[in-house]
Order: sequence, then structure tokens, then C-alpha cells
Amino acid sequence: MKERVLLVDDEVEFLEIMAERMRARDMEVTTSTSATEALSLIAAESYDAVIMDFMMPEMDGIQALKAIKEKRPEMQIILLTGHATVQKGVEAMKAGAMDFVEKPADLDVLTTKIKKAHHQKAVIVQKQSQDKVIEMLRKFGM
Amino acid sequence: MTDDSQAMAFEGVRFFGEMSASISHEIKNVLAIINENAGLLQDMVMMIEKGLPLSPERLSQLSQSIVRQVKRGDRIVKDMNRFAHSADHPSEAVDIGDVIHFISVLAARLIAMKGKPPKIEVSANPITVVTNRFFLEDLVWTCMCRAMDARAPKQTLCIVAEKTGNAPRIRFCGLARDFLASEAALFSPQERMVAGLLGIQLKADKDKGEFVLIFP
Repeated sequence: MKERVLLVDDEVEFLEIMAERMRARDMEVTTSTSATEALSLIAAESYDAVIMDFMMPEMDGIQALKAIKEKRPEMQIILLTGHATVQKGVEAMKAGAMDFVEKPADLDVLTTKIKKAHHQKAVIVQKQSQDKVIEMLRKFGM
Repeated sequence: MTDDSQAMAFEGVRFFGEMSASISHEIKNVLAIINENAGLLQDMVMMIEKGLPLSPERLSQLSQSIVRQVKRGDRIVKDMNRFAHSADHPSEAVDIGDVIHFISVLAARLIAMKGKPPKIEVSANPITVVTNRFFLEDLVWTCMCRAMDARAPKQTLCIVAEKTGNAPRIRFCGLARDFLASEAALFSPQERMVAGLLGIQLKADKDKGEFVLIFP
């Protein structure tokens, strides 16, 4: 099954070329230039990984990360940034990011992380389904 | 070193660090795009090796993108160099309109993160003051941040450089009245300290929804 990726960055050229290269690696890629638009996309669609810049207009990466995790806890978020500090990295991981990658990024490294995100999301979704079944069984006193 | 001069030194380093971090982020974005172009060229080489056709138009687009990013990177580094030289002289003749424009370019990403950029109104003739360029840039930036955080709903934030009588001034207009209600909370200790060093008066006008930097 293809990995579904949402790529969010206000640098349009970066977004277009990165998406083209990811598609050539057989991934299904949606792009967005703002965190606000990304939030409406994730409300309607499911993605394995959301890859987004830390510093964007309207909403910064940490705020967006928290908003996505609140709506879609199963989605894995990889923050991609030119502004990497250990403090920011720790803050991102505490807020629920799966990983933190510095720009310019190696697409092979990123691809490995996307595959990991795909797997982790599948595990979470499976666990959510199992929990629902257990809850239903409990309701019926079983 | 006295407490005051130590506090000024800390403030100067803080401002220099904030701008440097923003500039480095912009440079990283340029490098990231060039890196992706290089990666795409490598992908194309692999396609050719597999016997797939290569589009000359696509190659041309890639080279144009690289040229664009090199120009952008060059502009960022030139601005960074200009900023680094802001601290060369303790006092010099400075056009206040030019300082406002320069800071809005230098901190464009930080401004974009705070929403719609302010409208800048500067008279055609230079408004020259003799001051410390670096700390004036610092003061303009901190006031710009404060004004962007305090903009009145549905109003355009405006920064005006003008001269009334003999007094040059910078007005930050379109601010929420609630924000302007308490003058004590309006300006931070750092802003008061930097303004004091430059001999600039800080004034707020609740009725007009603005605050003003008045030069000596």
C-alpha cells in the first residue's frame, strides 16, 4: 500500500520539487502552503505522515502539531526545519512529533522515516479498532 | 561594567541573535530548494540510465530554479552583511524610513509569522537623524513586534516615518485601544532602556490608537 503524505511548507518551490521526488518513489503526496489549510485537509483525509516546516505564516509548527494531534492522534508528524535547536526538538517531541529533521534533508532518510510513520499509524489504528471492539463487548457484558 | 551598560549589551546580543536566527532559517530554505533540485537531477540521471526519456524543458526549469535561489541567497547574505555592519559606529546619520524598510525586509519571515505585514508609509525625502543605527533597528523591531501583537481587529497596522516641525518621529497606528490603556505596560523595560539611550521619547495615544517614537 502506498504511503500517504501531507507535505506542508510555505516555500512553494521546495514543496513542488519534494512532492515530485516523493511521487517518483511511489508515495501519494498532497501539498499545502499553510498550517491552516493543512488542518482542513487532515479533517477530511487521512495521511500516514504530515511533514511540515516549523516556521510558517499564521501558525507555527508546534501550534499546528498540537492541533493535528488533537484532531488526528494516529497521524505521524515529522517536523522539517531550517531552525533546528535541541530545545525546539525536545519541545516538538513532547508535543507528539514522531521525528525532527533539519533542512536541507536527505530524501532517503526522510523516506525511511515516512515508512516508519506508515507502520506506526497502522499499529495505532489497529489498536483503536481493538479498543472499540473491547468496549462494545463490555457494553454487552461479555 | 555598570548594570545599565551590561543590560544594553545583553539586549544588543539578544537582538543580534534573533535576527541571525531568522536569517539562517532563510538561508537554510534556499539551500533546501537547491538540494531538492540536485536530488531531482540525480533522479533524472537514474531515469536516463533506465532508458526513460529526459525533458529539456524540465531541465531548463530546474536550472532556472537554481539561479533564482542563488540570487535569493545572495540578497539574504547581502542584507545580513549590511545588518552586521549596523554596529560599526556609535553614532551616524541615519534615514529613519530606510531603517523601517530594512528591518521589514530583514525580518520578513518573523513578520509573516505574525500575520498580515504592516503598511509602511515613508516620505519621499529622507528623514535623517544622528543616532546609533544598531539600537535604532532594535527599537524599531521590538516596537514593530509589539504593534503587530496589538493590532486592532479589522484595521491595517501602519508604520509612518514623518517629520513634524523639527521633530522626526515614527508612528505605529491601527492598534487596539485596550492595549494602549496602560502606558506602564505598553513599553517593555528593554524598549524604555534602548529609547533612553537614543534619547527617544515613547508616547501612546489611546484615542488615535497609536504609539509614537519621538526623536530628539
